Amino acid sequence: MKGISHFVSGVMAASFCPWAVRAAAEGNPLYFILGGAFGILPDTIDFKFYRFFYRHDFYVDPDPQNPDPQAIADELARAVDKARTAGRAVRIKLNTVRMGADYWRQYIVRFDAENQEVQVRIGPVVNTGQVPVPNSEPAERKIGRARLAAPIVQTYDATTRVDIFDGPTFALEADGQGRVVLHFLPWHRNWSHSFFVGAAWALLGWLLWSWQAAVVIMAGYAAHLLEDQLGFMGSNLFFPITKRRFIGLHVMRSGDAVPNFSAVWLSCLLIFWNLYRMTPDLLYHFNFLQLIFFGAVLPIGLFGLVHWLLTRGDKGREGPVELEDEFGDTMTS
Amino acid sequence: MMLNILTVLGVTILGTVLSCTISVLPALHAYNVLGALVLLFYWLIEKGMSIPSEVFLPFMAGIVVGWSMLNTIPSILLGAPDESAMFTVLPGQKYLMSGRGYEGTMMTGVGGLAGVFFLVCVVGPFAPRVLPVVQGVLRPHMHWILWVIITYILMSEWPKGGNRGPAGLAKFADAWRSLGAGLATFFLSGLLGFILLYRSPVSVDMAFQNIMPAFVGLFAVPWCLLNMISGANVPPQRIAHSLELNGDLILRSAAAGGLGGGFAAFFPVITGGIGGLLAGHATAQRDEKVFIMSQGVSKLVYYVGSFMLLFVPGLGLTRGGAAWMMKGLYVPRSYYDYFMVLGAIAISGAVAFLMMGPLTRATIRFIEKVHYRNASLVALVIILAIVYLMTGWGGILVMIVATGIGLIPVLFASRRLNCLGILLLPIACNMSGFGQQIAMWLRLI
Amino acid sequence: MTTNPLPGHADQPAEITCAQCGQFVGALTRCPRCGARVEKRMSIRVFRYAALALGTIGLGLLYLMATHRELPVVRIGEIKPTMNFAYVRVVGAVSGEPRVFKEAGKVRSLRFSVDDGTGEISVTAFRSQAEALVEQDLVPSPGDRVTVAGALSMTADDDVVMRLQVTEHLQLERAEVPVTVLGEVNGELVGNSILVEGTITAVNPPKPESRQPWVIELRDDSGEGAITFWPDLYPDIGDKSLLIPGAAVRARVGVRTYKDKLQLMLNRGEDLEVRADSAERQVAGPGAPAEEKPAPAAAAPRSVPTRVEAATEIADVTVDMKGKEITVLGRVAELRAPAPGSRAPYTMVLEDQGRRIPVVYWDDVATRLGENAPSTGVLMKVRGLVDVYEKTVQIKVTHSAKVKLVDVEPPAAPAPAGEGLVEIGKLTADMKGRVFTVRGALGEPRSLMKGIVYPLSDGTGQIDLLLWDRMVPGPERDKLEPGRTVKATGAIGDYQGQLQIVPASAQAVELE
Repeated sequence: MKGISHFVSGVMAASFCPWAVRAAAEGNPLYFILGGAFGILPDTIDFKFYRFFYRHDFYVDPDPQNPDPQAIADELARAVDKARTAGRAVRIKLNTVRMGADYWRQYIVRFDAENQEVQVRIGPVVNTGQVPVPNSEPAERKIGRARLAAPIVQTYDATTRVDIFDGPTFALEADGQGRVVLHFLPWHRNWSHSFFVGAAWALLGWLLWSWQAAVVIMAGYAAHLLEDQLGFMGSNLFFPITKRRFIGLHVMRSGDAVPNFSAVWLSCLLIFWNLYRMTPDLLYHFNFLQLIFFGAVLPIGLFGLVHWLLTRGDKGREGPVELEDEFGDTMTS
Repeated sequence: MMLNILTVLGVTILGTVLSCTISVLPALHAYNVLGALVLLFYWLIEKGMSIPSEVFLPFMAGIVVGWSMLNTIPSILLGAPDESAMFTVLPGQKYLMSGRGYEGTMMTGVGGLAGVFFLVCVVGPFAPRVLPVVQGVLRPHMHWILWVIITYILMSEWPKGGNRGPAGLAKFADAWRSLGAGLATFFLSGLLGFILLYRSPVSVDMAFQNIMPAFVGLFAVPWCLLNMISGANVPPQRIAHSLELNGDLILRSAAAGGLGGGFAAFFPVITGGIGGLLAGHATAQRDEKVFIMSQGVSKLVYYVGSFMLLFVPGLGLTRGGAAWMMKGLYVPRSYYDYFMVLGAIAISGAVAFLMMGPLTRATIRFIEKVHYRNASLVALVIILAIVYLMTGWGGILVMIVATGIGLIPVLFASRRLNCLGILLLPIACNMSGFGQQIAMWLRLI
Repeated sequence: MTTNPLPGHADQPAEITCAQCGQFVGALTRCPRCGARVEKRMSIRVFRYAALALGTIGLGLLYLMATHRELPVVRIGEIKPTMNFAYVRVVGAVSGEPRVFKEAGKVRSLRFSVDDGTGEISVTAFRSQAEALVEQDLVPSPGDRVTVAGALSMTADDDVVMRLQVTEHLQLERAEVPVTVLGEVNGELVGNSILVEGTITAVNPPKPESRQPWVIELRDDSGEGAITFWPDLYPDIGDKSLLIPGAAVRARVGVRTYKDKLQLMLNRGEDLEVRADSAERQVAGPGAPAEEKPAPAAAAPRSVPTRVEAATEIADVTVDMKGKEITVLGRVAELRAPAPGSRAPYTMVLEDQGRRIPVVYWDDVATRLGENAPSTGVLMKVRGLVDVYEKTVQIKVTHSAKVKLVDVEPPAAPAPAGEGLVEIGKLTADMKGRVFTVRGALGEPRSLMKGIVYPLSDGTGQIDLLLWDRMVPGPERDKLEPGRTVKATGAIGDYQGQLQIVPASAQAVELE
């Protein structure tokens, strides 16, 4: 999920703690800050710290003026070959190709397990919103192909689109049966996304503040891990006992608008409800169902109705989704 | 009664037209103009003149609505982003550099119009019933909500560097250069906020404009300076006949922008930029048109909504500079004022939108003849004059320091939002009850 | 690869790309791909570091300037609306009665007025500041000289308030106040702070749950007077157990009028001092040395004891005292009569300082109590044996002479009736002068020099609820806060086109 969803979920978790609400009413914001901060912390560790210290064996760095898909495919095949014999995970980083303050050259990498090959295609220049710039597709729609030295096992999407910000990393690891397992973004959702690490933070919070702070920290952290588990990639939930990520439930993708907004809105309503029920002597009174009705059902229903009225004639306008290009998250979780 | 209605209609249109004209002048904020107007009203009152609320309420509403809608024109059209100096290019600027500045401006205007509809048709009828309930529950909790937002702003910034090269400290340092600049901006502006709150160099006679020179320095002056040193040129602009928008795009923009702007209007110290950031993240919008339009919605809902909240019966919230200035002149009391202001907002929104097209085209013609660097220089002179006339040398001093801080995020690729530490930090500390303690540690009191 | 330059790039300077490898470098001075140095125009580099230097050095200098700048002193009469938010200092004398607002026993705010000869301003301290001022005994009294600094806040109603931000910004110089004999207290002293001395002739506490003040009746050689104070001050009075008829007291009070009568208003509990020597003589009992000046007799018709026996605080009564005869003083919190035919005793629960003790007696005592018969809320003095029944300490009274009614409550003023409850939206200026009742939610209050205004709205409209100090005193208003619903009865007024409702007494404002 996106950072804000995790953050608000952490605040929501804190709001269930009566001491947090009491302290806040007396001017102490600590518990809510801890809830939010530790709600987003697992990703902060990965994206703002760990990834800069994560070493790679191979870097794919296409020429911005003349990107060669074959060279990229060859480099990927070389990494797979090395992984087959290295006896350890081999890491390869696919660098993005920046073309301007807001422009990026896109390229698409596809591991074809069935044919045991990797295919690379150079795409259009896109802006940071991943919208292609008109007429920026390469004149020649060349595809680079390279035969892989070993069968591969996918743990994530077969197709990876490399375009904006930071490029993805793959860890390639021989599985002892002659195959190479492909781990997408191996530095992400690994040790940082473990309940035990959350517990360690909570212990630190206990030492620094109180057991109440520890509970809030653990609740915020755990909310993050559980939400992430709804996605595709999963997390290494019990590091250091486990070494690999548990596969996610495949319910949603981390960048999807609807689940993210739903998580934020629902969290806000729950926070509001908790504040309401823990505040004495309020002038107005309502029950939970009324809150959900007026806070969620009514506005979302109205939005849906107006949306339907406005878009009745627009069916079929959107272009078909290119399924092979369906892209998972690189860094937006 | 009829005379009252005609008076309201007349002064609303007058305020809007005046505001629209002012909005086209770059770097001039509506609050600068409102500040000057308030001074004029004080002077008139001192001279024994009585100004009826039917005159200055709609007039001020017209100024706020007109500016919120039309100030997009200079912010998009006057200034080409120099990519050799700036790390990021805003969507509006991208439109300008593609020769589609007119489209970008008009799209924001459509967003503003959607924002007026949102305020008048959605917020207006429900506000007196819903907002007092929400305020009743959240009132003791505003301080921590502010702290939580600060935490999110500081934690959610994406490192701009560190994407290449071998792993290690050098890569980490490269990544953290922008983040560090962001944090430095936030805390430097926060310290400036503390100084202005407790020991402002601005004369006490003009204390109601204490923060104005700092805002000018943080946001307006860097914009003028960067324009003046920019090596980029504005390409020829096309006047598009269609904006290629549909109901879905407008609705999504209105929802995202309304949420962000509404959030900013309701909560103290939160600005439209922060509301827009939070709503943008929460609704996970990627479409550029939705982004541009939602910025228009968010800005209008924030500026106009915060002004409108002052008039919501039974609520009595004072949010935003316009409302604070208004409160010094008049305390709204009844549904009479509320409906008058809602009416003025609706009329003003319509007039402002109708003026948007001609004024955008006029500005495009203007930048074809006068280079935007020269226009920026003139704008800089104007805002310097305003700051000096209103706040004296003390204000100029504050503005210069704030300019230094305001340039940091632009030149080091961090969020300009961090400049809002000037309000967020001291006020969050005060609301939690330890601001005075910090001011004492700083030996400011 | 792209045949055309990207949109906007044709108008960009050449230095946005690396001359070595063609990589876009933007604002970077070193190519992130090949590491080559990229030459930039001087202005960009200069700007980047100049900005950082300007921001930090400039801020440092501004900070130094701020910390070395004296807070400006302003004359109150010269404060203008454009000074809103200014942090300034005023020097003057405290005028009117300072008020400490409490909620649930905690100090919520403190307000007092300062007059510097050119005008008057209301100074407010909230929460921790107000609490600290009370704790540090820095609540000013009328007449005290103060230098106070804070932020100005003003609204369109010309309400100017100074918010005190730190306790250190209140410098207090207590005024030397000479003793004024009670016979010389007259209308000319209204609004002044005076020191009075005298001997207590009666103590009239408020009825529990009532909104009445305490009234201590005094007498000195020159005449009589009554000190009035609100119940929230009672805990702050030094030795409350000595506050009994016959004790000599000294108090600093404000002189004011209430219903055309002069009233000596105590503003702080600490300002009432019971002269220990006189009180000790009063409580020493038989055998103590005789007083030089015998205490004056209690004023009729109250049955006030002229000689006081040593009383044990209810909180001090323990199981260990079982069998011992003691005297306790307390208000009747609860009365329970036995069921007809039952052999159970009568139970009178006495309360003092939040602690309770049951006093039990049987028919033989109850039927002989006569004018000493207790009722809820009255102050009783009881002498009896400490006993323990079902693990509860109680006092067993065996003779009616050992039960004394010390004090009864003056009857509460009846709440005004008016013309009944109306919706606020239906009130018009034509109804000016008529008395109505309205019900609604309170908004944010605005201070006036002699009172406070709460906007009151009920969904049909809004009216100003105007509470004058003299009609609805401070402690009554402690319970009011924005958001609460109240029912208020009062005369309709009109001020500058805005309708007001003005309750004539505390009873006319009911918190719901």
